[in-house]
Amino acid sequence: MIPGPIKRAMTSEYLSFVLRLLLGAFFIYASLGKITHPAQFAQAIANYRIVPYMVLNLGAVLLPWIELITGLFLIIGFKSRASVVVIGLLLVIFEVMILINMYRGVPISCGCFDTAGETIGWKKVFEDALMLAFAVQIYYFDNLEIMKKFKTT
Amino acid sequence: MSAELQNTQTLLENSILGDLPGEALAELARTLQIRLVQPHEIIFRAGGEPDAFYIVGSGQVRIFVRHKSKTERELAVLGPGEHFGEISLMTGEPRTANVESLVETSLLVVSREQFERLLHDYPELSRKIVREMRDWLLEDEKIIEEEAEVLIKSSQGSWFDFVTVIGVSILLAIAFNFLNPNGISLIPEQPDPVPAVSAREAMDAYRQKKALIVDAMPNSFYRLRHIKGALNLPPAQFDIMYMASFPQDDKDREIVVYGNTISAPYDLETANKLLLHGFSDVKILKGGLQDWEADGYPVEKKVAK
Repeated sequence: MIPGPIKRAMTSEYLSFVLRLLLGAFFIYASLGKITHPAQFAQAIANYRIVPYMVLNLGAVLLPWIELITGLFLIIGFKSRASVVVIGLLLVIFEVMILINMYRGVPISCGCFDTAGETIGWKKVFEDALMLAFAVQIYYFDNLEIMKKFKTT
Repeated sequence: MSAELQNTQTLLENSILGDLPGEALAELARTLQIRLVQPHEIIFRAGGEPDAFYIVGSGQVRIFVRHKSKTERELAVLGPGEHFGEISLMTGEPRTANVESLVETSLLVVSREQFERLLHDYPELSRKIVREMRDWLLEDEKIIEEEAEVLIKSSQGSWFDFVTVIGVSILLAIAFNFLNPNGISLIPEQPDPVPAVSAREAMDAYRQKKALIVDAMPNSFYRLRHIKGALNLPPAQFDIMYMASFPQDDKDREIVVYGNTISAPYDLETANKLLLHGFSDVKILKGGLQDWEADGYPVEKKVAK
């Protein structure tokens, strides 16, 4: 169905490498806006009305750091496979939270990159889905560990 | 003479030819050629025509193959008494590997004709060679198995990797939050309780224009839907909105605050702030906006565009 050259490009480990840098940089950038102001970020999460009050602050403190570390690991290639799985799971959770609140109909701000910022909407849903596609490509076609092994033998 | 003796000595050490009868060994020792090679000289290359069988007299050689991707792989390093080059001689196919001397090396060269005659005269030589190849195969199988294991492990990613990623994040997050001047308490404190009124009681006060209704939800929620006539006073923007637009003259006026979600007790937070500012009769609306609407009391909705 899919023509050969396009399929080869989409499954290429070089594409994986580029996507790793892109997705990693995206997550690092996303974390920096929130990491220093957990109280405001907690309010942004509270607007989603999904995370219980008791764990709200914990989530607001941990999430930006998980984004930063997984983004960093993805770029430097340390535990990058576990990192991309965590990133994928986060993206799925974000997507579900955004869609639930679009269904509820309150135009809350995303809290994706900073504590104020853009309102959730189809643009955010698309962005999220695109990054999820990146993560899936990296998971299946990134060849980092195999390349490492060859260098040592 | 002494060279011949030395050759015999080397042949005796060899695993394939060592068991030959004495006269055959002696003849071979007399007739074989000696080839001297400099360090790092190529003895033969993969793809070349097979011309002889070699036994290392002194020195050291290494056998290696080069993959298409230019990576090199060493198969063996051989010393005195060890042999190479028999496979291609037996099959007549081109050489399958490269051989290079590591140091100054002398080689005992058994020509193709000599080798074939030996195989013909002493058939058990073939069996020895086959047995040797079987050992290589078993060794290769072990290597393949090990490599497959590494590959599978690296492709699965172990639980330990997830623990590392999440663990590092949690440690840094908690340490950073502790040092951050804007840090927050990880477990939020519950706001002090405030007396509550039911929707019906609130409605009575509302009808008599006694009570002031306050919506504590964030502004975007308030704009979408709120109790008719309610003022918006979310705890996050309390100071600004209180100063800007809240009626502060009658501190004894009854105030009914509503608005909480699973994620935040906005009503309690705003109610507590109002109590702090000196208001004496502050209450929470039991059941919030939902109960109010369920009882059919008036709300204001944003008109859909």
